[in-house]
Amino acid sequence: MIKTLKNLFIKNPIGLLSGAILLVYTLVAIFAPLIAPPTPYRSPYEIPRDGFAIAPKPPSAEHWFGTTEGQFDIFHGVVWGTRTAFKIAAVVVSCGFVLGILIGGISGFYGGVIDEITMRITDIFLSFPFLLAAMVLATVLGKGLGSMIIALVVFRWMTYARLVRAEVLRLKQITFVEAAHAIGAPNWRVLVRHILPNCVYPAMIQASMDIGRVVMSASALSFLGLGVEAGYADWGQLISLARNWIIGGAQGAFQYWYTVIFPGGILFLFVLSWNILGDALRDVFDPRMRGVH
Amino acid sequence: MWAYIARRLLIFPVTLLGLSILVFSLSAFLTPEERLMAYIHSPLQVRGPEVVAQMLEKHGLTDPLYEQYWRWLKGVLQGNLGFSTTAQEPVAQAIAKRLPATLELVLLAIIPIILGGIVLGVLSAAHHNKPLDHGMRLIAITGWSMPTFLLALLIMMLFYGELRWFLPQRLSYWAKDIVLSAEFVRYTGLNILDGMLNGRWDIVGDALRHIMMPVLSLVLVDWAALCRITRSSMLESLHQDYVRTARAKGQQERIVVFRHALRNALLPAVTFGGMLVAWLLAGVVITETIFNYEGVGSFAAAAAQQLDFAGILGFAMFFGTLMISMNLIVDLTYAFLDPRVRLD
Repeated sequence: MIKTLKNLFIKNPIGLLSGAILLVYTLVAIFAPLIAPPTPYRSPYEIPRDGFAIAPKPPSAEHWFGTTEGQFDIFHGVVWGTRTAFKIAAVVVSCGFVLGILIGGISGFYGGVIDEITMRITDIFLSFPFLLAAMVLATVLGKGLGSMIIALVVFRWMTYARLVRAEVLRLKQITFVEAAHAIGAPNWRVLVRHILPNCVYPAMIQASMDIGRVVMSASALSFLGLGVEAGYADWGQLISLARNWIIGGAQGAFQYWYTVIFPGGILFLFVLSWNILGDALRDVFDPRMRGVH
Repeated sequence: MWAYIARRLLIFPVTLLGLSILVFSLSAFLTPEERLMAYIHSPLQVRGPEVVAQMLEKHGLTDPLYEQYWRWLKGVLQGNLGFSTTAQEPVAQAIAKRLPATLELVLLAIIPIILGGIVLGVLSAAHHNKPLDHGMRLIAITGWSMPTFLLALLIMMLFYGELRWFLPQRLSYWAKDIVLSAEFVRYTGLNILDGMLNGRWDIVGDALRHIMMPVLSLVLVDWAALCRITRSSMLESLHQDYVRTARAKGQQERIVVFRHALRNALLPAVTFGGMLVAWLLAGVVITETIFNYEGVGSFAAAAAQQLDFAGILGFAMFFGTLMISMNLIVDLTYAFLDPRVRLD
């Protein structure tokens, strides 16, 4: 374990850097109430407004990252948006993970007709591009963080199911599983105690690579106006408020740069760090890649 | 191989049926009144609450769900996807009208993505763990982590806001007048191609100026994804025994990479074809919306934003069918190319 950690971080300085950056994001999410204190008697996720003027205002002592169209404070939105991002990622990825392990595990273990049916259903769910599928479902379910999360979960379990199924099919042939059957362990016990624990690693690597993707898709939904409610702290929503000002004004094209660079840069860095970390994890843990790297 | 192909062809209609069930069950989240919109062909039909109640009864929206599903499916098979309130026309017609614009965008984007992605992926793998590889990996993961909507906004800021090189929308007003006029023949609906066929190079130039920004944002994101996949597939095949054999017998490195390894690494590339279409479809929804480019993607986004349920479900049905057909073609091509699949 120590050796793998060493491989993961010491030999891979960029992996280490991305880990450090994610640590900063985590701290920001944890200490959000101290960094950007919420207005009393209001939900902290509600971005405070400073008046109702239309045009964004540049960074100042009062609003460190400036304000968006309609005077939402970008700094507050970005800080609490970090919590929103972690919330979405945690719920969507862990639900997809559990659903995938259950469906893939049962499908691979029992095989035959059950396997054929579940895999065809998986194919149907996979036939939509992830973002489009989530978009359609989010539209039908209505606006809000909850329906967005449901929409993302419904179309995020298939990769895990396929991965776990393939792993179960492989493990079924291995002696220790046959031994468990031979000593008369019931089917469910073989599956839960002997097979599934060994399928968790590949699914976990997939999960770490999924976090960036899920947060990116959630932001895209919010950007299109299909995600969180107006005024809710969310990176995608902040970027959508920059849309009307993107070509600037009298002082040139970059006059309103802060409306897109702060939320956009923070979203990008978050996704990038997770993707690099996911890659590093895969390189270390994936047995097929072990000889390659 | 024929058994495999027969099995795939038999499963195809079953998968389509499954897709229709999935799309229909999405609509089960809606109230009967919301679902009624799929049957209304003109807003003039709805005059007051009694008419609505009558129409609910007439279209059997209070019937059990399986009866409703069966009726809806019969309509879909006849090409009736309902009436879109966003486009103010039937959904099938709205999609058909906007399809050439999206096709033009996707065709222009797909060539640089495939060429760039595969070439750079191969180069990166061939120089494994050398500075070139590290650089390429870093660039590719950066592109792969860039949200399309963020990139599109930045492109808009630079190329339209600052430099004024490229323009949003599909055509300028003067060009639109010419394209819609009687003497301009619409052979394909693709502006660039039609401009060439009509000998109007000013139209071609204008269309190119408008299409560059969405193409650029699609290419920069999806190129990186393809490069990553090609690289890892290429690395796997470079570590196969037959490649070692080729090297051992003293074959030139260039021939080992391009003739021995690449051939096998490109087999999965057929699968990427299917994935690529999926990425591009998701990409056009965002890019067309940001650049006000009138295609199927911006229609879908508008339908979703304006709660046009018939529009969005019709879109889902249409593109689900397209994707499933695409996957079938990919699987069949694979069976012809890869002897290992035939044995299944």
